[in-house]
Amino acid sequence: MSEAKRPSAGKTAVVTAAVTGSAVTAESPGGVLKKSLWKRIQQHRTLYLLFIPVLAYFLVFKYWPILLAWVVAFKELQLGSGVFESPWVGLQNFKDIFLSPDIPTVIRNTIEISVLRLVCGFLPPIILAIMFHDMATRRLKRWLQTLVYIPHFFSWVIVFGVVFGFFSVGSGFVNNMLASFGFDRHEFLLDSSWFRPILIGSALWKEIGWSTIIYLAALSTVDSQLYEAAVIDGAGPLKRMRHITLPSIMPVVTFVLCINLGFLLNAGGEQILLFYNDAVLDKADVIDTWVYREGLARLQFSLATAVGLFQSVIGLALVVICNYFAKKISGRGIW
Amino acid sequence: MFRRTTVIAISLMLVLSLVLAACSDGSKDSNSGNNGKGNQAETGGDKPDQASGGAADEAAGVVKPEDLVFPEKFPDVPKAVDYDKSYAYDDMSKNYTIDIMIGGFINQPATQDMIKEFYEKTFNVTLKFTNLSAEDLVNKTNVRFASGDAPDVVLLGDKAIAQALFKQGQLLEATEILPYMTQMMTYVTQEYKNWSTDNGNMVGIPRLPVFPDVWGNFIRQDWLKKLGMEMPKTADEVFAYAKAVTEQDPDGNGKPDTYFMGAAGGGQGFGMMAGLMDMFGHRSWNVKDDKINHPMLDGTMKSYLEFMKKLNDNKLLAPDWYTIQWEQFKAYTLQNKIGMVNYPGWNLLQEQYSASQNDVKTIENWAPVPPLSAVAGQEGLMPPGGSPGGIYVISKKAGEDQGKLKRIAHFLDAVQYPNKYYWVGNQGGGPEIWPDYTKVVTNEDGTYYYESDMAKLQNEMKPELKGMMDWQSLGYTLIWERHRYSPDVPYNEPGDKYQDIVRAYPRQKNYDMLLNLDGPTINRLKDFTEKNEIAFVLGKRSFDEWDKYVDEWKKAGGEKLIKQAAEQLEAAAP
Repeated sequence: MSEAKRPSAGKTAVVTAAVTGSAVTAESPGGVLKKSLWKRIQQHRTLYLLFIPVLAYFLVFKYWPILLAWVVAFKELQLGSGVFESPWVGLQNFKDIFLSPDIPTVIRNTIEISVLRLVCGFLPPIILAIMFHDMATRRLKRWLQTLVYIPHFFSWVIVFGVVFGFFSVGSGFVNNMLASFGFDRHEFLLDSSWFRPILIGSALWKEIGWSTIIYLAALSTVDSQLYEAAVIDGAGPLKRMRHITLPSIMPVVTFVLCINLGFLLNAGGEQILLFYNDAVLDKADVIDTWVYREGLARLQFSLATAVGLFQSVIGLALVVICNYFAKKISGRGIW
Repeated sequence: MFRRTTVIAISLMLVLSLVLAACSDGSKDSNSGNNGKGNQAETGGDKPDQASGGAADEAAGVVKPEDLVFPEKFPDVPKAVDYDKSYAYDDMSKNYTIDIMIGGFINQPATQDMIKEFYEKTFNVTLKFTNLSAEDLVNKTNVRFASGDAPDVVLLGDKAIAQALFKQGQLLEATEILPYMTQMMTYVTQEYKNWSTDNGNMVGIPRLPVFPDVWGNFIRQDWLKKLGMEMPKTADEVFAYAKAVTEQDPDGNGKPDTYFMGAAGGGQGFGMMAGLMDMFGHRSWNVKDDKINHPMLDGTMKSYLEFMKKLNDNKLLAPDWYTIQWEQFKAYTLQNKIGMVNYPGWNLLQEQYSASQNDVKTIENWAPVPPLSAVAGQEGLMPPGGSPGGIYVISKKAGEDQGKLKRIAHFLDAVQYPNKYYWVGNQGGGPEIWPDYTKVVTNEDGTYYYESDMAKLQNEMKPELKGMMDWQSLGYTLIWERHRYSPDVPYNEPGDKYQDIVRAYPRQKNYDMLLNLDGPTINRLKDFTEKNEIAFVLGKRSFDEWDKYVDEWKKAGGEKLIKQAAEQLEAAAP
């Protein structure tokens, strides 16, 4: 390798180090030189100066609200008084939440729907991404990709319109099909047992295409020489997938799984708000919808914030646990 | 060196803009309209005007809040107040920005809002007008008050929200603005005042209803004839009619595509079918044998839900009867698939006539059903009437500037019936907006009607202008509106007649006007009851569990409300 190319090799090492979390510093690919933070700031003060707006953005729009949320969760927010002037109530908001008769059902529904989303929504994008990756005809691949990406850009209102068009009793496509085969029409939208399949199915239809993007990006980095070598060695498509494709995208899969686990208590409130009705509330009411009704519509902002805090803490704990086990089992984690 | 300086400058500018963006107060935006008003801005804008009031008010004949006199009933013949004298307290010299939020039915801004322009010019104001669906209005209102960006005026449909905002110290006591509203004071009756008073404070100003007790059950009388049936009087007769409508093909097309009714509430409650509860008893809080009573306590709700279950089990209700939205359900009704609806009479006839391509015979299809009773021979009663059509709330912030408060009072009062500018914002614009198409004719009995060329007006009223129609939420009422009787509008006369008939039916006493129950508890109970009521109707809960359900209802807040209601109505506990 020529001398001129060495710096770029160094940069690659830095990026890799950033992903793997190794202690190798930017200044010393070998990890020999270590400078204090202040010295590094002095040396690259222009770059750090440019970083200030980014830092300020995160502090003002991300961390400050988190701090406020922590405070509000332990206060009874009075609109006229503001966050800091409102009286402290200790754990009263959390007591109110957990003493509410709705909460056991709401938490159970949240976890069940989230797990269903995770189970049903995790593998299909990976499979679809691998199928796209292995597709020989580029034009067909692009056409199909566009087709599956489009639903992502539909709002949930439109998606519900489509669902209503499919499952309504009067003129719904599914009921028309049932009727044409001599079966009775069924009130799918009033049937609790059908609520979740319709919810998960429509969410999958909307997001499956978009979710493939991250896996396709990961697949695009796999060295094509590996596949060529495998073919020469006699590996068939399934073996190539097992021994090359899947191991290559495993870090991304682990990352996505960990992140998704962090949202276990966020079961997709916006979609459910549009899809549910009183008849299916026992299977549909989740934390987000409960917070929407109790917090926003009834001016109980402290209660809503306390629930949000609870969701965040559980989510963080799940991410940490997932990351721990991912590292333990596969040696890879997100940090 | 130049590069570094540039980088530093850009970074500092970015930081500054970020900090400014984070610290800016959205509420200021609503007043910034004044800056674009040229000379008007120079006249003072929204600066507090604490000096005015006091002596000036006395000179203008403004009474003190404690001297307000609330009438016992609406005037028999409403008359416009003496405009110049009534608003002499407002010198109109300054321009104010008024931020108004209302629940509309178009809920999209008009590209050229001529009504807004007229109001702005006439009242020397800059208006910020937000029209939203009822649910969005509540959420948006709450968010705006919570974020310190309170609107000046909100017209809420739900009193409980007004109570909650008042308790949070966000609203002005209504008696502080009512002395400036002489027209409004002709109809804020003692009963209305009680309704809007919570813990001794009037949390808002009750609004006249748009549809004053004109909603009633309407039946297909052509189908009754065809089926050889009489007008139903009891629950059993209603059920027999429902069964006949669904099973005997009254439209004669040979297809099983006619149904009795539908809720059309979008999956939230029983919508237009809620009116059937009146057959079985009082639908709300009442006093029975000197004891407090509620439909959950005396079996009214149980009987009603059993009846609904019977209709559902026999497949007599329209497809998607519970989840379908109101507008979608109209397609069934107007395409002759539905045997009974709950509607205002005039609107039903007008919509049916339009949907049938002006077939005058369709007007005879519908007739109002006299109050029904579960028991033969017993007098049926319509639901309690006389309720307000919402509540105007004024933010405390708006009240901090006396000059602005007076302008708000002036504006709101001037658009009440039959004041000088009442017609401006109604029906998408009155004669002031559409002088070529609309004329108002006032009658001696205090009523009025529009003499308008609807065909031309609708042609002129482009889709992008439809948002203007939401201005009528501000003050429109049908209490005193009549229609022009003429062969080219054949639905007007029978429509008015049906509304008069429905309004004249005997009604249950409205105890809710005397009650101020705990708003959050009422709302929480609403969620609880709605999900359980549909569960009983669909058979997910058995009526064998009814007593258990009543106990659950009491624990969920019913007991608390029973105590409050008994105390406020001075009745014994059940």
